Amino acid sequence: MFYHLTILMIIYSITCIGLNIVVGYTGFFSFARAAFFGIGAYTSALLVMSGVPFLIAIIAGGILAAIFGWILGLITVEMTGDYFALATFAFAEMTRQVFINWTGLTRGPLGLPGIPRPEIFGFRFSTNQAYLFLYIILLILVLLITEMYVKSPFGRLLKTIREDETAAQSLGKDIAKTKNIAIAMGAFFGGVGGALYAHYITYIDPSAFVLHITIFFLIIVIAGGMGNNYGTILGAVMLVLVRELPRYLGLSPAFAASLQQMVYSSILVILMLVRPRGLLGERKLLSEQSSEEGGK
Amino acid sequence: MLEANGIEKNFGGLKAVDNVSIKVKEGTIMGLIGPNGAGKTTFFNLITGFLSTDSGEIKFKGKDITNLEPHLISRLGMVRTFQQTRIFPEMTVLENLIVAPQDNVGEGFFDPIFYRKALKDDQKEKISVAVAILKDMGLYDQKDEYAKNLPYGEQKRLELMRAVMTSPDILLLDEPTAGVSQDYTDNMKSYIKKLKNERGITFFIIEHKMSFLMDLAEYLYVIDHGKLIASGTPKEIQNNTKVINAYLGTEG
Ligand SMILES: Nc1ncnc2c1ncn2[C@@H]1O[C@H](COP(=O)(O)OP(=O)(O)O)[C@@H](O)[C@H]1O
Ligand SMILES: [Mg+2]
Repeated sequence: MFYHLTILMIIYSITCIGLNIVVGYTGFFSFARAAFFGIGAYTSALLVMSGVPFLIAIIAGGILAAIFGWILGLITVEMTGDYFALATFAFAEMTRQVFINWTGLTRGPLGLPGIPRPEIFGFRFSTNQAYLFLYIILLILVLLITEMYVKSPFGRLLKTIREDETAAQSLGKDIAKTKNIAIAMGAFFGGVGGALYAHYITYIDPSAFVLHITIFFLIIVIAGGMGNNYGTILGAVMLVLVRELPRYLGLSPAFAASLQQMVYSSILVILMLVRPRGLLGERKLLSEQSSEEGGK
Repeated sequence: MLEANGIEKNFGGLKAVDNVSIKVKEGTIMGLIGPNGAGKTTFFNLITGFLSTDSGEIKFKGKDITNLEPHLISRLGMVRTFQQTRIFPEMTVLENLIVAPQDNVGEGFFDPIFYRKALKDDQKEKISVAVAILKDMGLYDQKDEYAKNLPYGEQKRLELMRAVMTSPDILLLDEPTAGVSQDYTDNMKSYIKKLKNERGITFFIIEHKMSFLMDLAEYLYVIDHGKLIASGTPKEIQNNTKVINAYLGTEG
């Protein structure tokens, strides 16, 4: 149980660190997370099943998700706020329909069983301990890369879009391009997260990529701390506990489900009242003395 | 340096800007005045690309910039501020400033990977420039404060400093002293003079209050109901009956 829960926390952390780039730093509520998660999961699963090495497959899953993210960005470039949210939701729904209906590739609602476990240079990660080890390393890698980006001038530029797009344009910033990169980057980590999910659970079907999971991811980011990657990890830890613990406590599934909903909503309401920017808010990343921080 | 000819903009049936032509000479401070609702802000939006014109032509440094995207116009060296101040509220004062320069290293996707050293050096330099400006304006002590926590008058000054950080050739200020105290107003005035003298920045300033521009601007344009009704030195404008009537007409 410990290994299982921790592995899920890591998978969701990676996914939501990506989402946080878009929601927390760039300030757009995207409802496409399940789609990127799914694109990464299917891509990587299918590639590994046809003989492609694990590491290449998960990166390919991330890249394909990023390409779709880029296209989504191009389509939504003029949209703000609500329209953007709606468009991303529509995109996620379309993607799910593709998972369901492209049976030749995805086997539709039957799903893909028997997805191989990760194998790197001949070493097969078959125990949960080995999994955890591998996924922790991947999480650290994702965290390091993302932290490097959000602390850089590029990260600061993302924040200006969240703060005031018009002002950023007045300073000469190419908002459309930057927003697009942010969405693609976020989608990349969503795809990688989905790939890791597929190779852990070893079975995926379209029902794993519904709106419900998108909302679950959004709550992780919002609860943990928008614009704070460590907060996102904290959010993933909390939400996995809230979702999975009732199962271990022997509650009936129906009761557990409604309890979950109640806990989710309570978390959101309490946070909105007490800490609107999440448990761990954004950190001040810049100080005059430690100016090298700007480039870390 | 900046030239607009026959600019027009309609909002539905309303002619917000009606055949306005202006010229701003390099190295001067020019003003645009007029009563509330005259179309001043709309005119600024048109020349800076935030609104598209219905007709007319805008030239900047001899280049046709009509309906060019706002960030491209800004990159040519024409930078504006807003009547409704637009700072980055959840960023610190220092961050507000160092995000502004247009030659920042590290804003591209691959920069944090390939230009690590250059990026660090560049940030250091930008921080020292920002710190100098903050000290100059007496805002240094608040450098690590979130911009949203500054009093309104200081937010306006921050917005101006941020625009200065882009190293503009011309600054378009939309009511830089609206809603701020006399102290801030005087401070703003001397800062603008200083920027002009030390950095050679050209200014085109909207003010609703005529007094602010009287001893600052060399030349004034006056618009009312979208139309250019007068232009001249502040002295000439002060004694122009059309202008006096326009102001009295809407003030009452
Ligand atoms: N985006 C817009 N849509 C419709 N009407 C507008 C818009 N912007 C300004 N107006 C109208 O245009 C006129 C000029 O406004 P504005 O340029 O803000 O005047 P000023 O800055 O001189 O006070 C006003 O009547 C205003 O209501
Ligand atoms: Mg105005």
